[in-house]
Amino acid sequence: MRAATFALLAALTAAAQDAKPATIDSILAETWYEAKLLPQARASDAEFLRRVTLDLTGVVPTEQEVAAFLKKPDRTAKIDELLASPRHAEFLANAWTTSLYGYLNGNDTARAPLEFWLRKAFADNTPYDKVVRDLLTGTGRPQQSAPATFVGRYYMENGKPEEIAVKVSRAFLGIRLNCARCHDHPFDKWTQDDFYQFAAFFKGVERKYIAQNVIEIADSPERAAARYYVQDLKKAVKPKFLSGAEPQTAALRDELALFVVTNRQFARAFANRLWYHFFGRGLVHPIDNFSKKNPASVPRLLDFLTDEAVRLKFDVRAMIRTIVTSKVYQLSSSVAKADPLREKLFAQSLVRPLAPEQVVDSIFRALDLEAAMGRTEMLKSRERFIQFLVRNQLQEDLTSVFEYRESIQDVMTKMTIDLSRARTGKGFLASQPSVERIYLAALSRRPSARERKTCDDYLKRGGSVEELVVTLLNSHEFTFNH
Amino acid sequence: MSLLLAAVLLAQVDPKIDEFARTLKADDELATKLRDTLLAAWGKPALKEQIATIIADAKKTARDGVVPAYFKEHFDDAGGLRDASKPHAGDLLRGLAIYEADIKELRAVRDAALAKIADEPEHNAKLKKFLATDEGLHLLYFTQLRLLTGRDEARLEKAIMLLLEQIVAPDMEGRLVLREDIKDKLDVYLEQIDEKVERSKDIEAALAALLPKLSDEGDTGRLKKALGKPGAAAVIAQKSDRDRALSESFSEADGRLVLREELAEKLDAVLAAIDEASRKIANVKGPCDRIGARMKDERLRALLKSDMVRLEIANEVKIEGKTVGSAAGMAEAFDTWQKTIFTESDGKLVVQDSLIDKVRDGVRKAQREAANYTAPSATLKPYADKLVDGTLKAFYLSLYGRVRMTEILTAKADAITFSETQGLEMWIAKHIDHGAVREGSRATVEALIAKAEKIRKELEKNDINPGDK
Repeated sequence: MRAATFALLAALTAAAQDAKPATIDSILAETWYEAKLLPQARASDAEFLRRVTLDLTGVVPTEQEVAAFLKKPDRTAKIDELLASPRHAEFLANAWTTSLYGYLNGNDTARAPLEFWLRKAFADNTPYDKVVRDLLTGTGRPQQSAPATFVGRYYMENGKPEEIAVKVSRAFLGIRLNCARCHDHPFDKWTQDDFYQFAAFFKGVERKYIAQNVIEIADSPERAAARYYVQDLKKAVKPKFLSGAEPQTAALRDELALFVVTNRQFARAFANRLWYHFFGRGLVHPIDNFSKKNPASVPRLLDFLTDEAVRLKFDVRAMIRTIVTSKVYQLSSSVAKADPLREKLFAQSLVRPLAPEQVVDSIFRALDLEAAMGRTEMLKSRERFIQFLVRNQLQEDLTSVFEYRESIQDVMTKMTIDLSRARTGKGFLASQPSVERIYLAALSRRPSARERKTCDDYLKRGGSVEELVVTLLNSHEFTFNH
Repeated sequence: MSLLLAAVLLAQVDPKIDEFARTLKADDELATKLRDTLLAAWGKPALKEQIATIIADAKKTARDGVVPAYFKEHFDDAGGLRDASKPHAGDLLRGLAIYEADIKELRAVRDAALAKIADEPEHNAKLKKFLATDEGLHLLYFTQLRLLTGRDEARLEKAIMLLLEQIVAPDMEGRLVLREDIKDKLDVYLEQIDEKVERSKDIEAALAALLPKLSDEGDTGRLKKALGKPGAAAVIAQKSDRDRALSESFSEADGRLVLREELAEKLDAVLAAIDEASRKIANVKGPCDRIGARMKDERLRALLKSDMVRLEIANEVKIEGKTVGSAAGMAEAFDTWQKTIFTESDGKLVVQDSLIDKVRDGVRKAQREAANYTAPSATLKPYADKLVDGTLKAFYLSLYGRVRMTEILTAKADAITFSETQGLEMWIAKHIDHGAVREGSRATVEALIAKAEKIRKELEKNDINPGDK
């Protein structure tokens, strides 16, 4: 049977290569064939719906949405519906702000304006290269001119451009250039000169202090023309991009932005970052560590996605659609035991912890608390719980991390109990839900016959609906995306 | 003006460059080349570099002209005050009168304090000596105490504007509008503010009905007087249960309402809170009126007129970490300042140990700066000498006039900002005529095209693939 399947896979792969241009599915089918791997089965409709809703909108589907989808499981239509929803832009903006800015306000800038600006950019489907050019060249007061938040956040008051250089290289090029800050990179081609020449593109930035917590980012022709002396190198350094390209004008940041977004590595890093968002693992992983020592797990696929990014002119929504409509994205995550090779080659869907926002928003949705609490109170609670969940990561740079990696069980328990007890008169619990509805709301699926019996028995013995909901919301099945 | 410019700052220049490039004439060879260059991504940095130079020149010219422009705006050629500037002149003279009264009061308080300041150790003596001078007195007034009493409207207005910039942004006409980028967050926030304002209005109405019934005698009389002040309703509204408490706070006696006896002990605290609130509201009134006039949205304009919102602003706005207008007058402001610097030892005031180094440096620095607070401005004198109105002339030549005018002129100079879009317009006006390159500008445009070409060549170095060695 296994041999026959391989033969079929080989035939399909060959046929695909002969007849059609490469796709994500055809490239991975060929990869699996070469590695003698069988892909996991297709995810069930319930499994797919939960995954795609979490990945595209950051929240589990409502029980009504699950019921409707299970009745008419049109996956492509669901993807298009989610991509068009405002929550999609909100969620992407939230995740990318965390990656670009982090959680805590700092350096006289605030996270919120950047997040709102990104939300609009994603809602308008602004091409990614345009977004990055705006971020790299932003001027003005960050609280009014949101793109200036990015440079303001990392460009220090002492006029040192090194921090912003590190962030740009990691976030937009997927390169850990910081390793070359103190010495030539031990494993890669980057030298200390490369690092400081890259940083020198920001030497013209002027960070004006207007008042307490108010700064203004501007470009100063005088600063751009001034020498950038690097103590470690004992010499003045001129701006030079990693490709060897040199600026020809005093508009240093404009030229840098151009060098960055027209470079193939930019498209590569973008494609890899998107892939990571939907698979929990980059083709190059970690996503900010493109290096000779850390090659892509499926180089041909990375090349394909890079070409697609360029061909689609960095159309974020189109790229996402290409990924989530692939058969690979829709594989099941149910496996008997972990197999690192299968995970590396994406022969199955990876089980990954939810991001803090996904956890909190999903609990709110499962308990139907949004309507019950009112938007203002809900937003306040949401912010408090997220801060609580990420308390150990508040200060961290999250360029390469999306999902929540620490144990959250204690927090989860506290949070769900607090919320459900506080709200027993309202929301989902007030509706005296059946076991089936509890499963649909909490786990986005119907209970198995065994689960149904166990729960019914528990309730007949006098167990409470509230405890049952809290138990499900604290299960691994709820706190992971699979 | 500054707001209009700020609005343009937000506008993106790249689409404007494209728009301009498309207007260049097809039958002019150089203009065609320029058009193709500017429509390409590599042409834009080359043009932006030239725009930056134009902006820097324009800024310098405009800043140099701030003083003559000010006098031209407010006075005619014969030195007469323009009719439209009468309110402005009134503001200046009112400020002068307040300053004169303040200094008189401060001098008396300072003299009393000097007698208490110890002559040892040396840093104490130096501070005492400096405070005893007229320069020291003025420096203390202008840099510290004026802020504490809320007299420093220039800094206050700037601080309030910065605070409000979190929710409003200038539109293309310079009017302030709610920020679109955070609209949904603002909707929630404004709903909360509206609720508070409504609540405050309800309380105002309740107070209006209550006041005539209150007795004028004793504690009730004191409270009645306080409840009639602006800000009383706002203070009550800040505590959610106070309006309910209001109706339950009085009992009837001889046909009038009197404060219940058990509440008398809380009266002083309530009176102090109302007094502080009405003072704070008065402090921010001027700046809020001026900023409110710039609001396009009627809802925001109305909010800025509300005592409730003004109190919130006054509580929120801080300058150098200090709450503006926290002191009632010079005596209180001096007392607050004195307590932050000195401690009492054997009946004498000595500088606190933790501040000794700061005070030493501060006195040295203050002595250097003192010159600014002793002489009238030489820059203003030639203009002031030509004025017809003797009172105004005296203002511009006074010490207060020098400080106030520095604030006004600095604000004007700071407001001179040119956006890239304006820079582009200036560049076009200088180098392009009806879609063709001006004869005298050919070299500039050719240099721009050559630079853009060099950038294009640099872009050919396209892949930095970290996987390659």
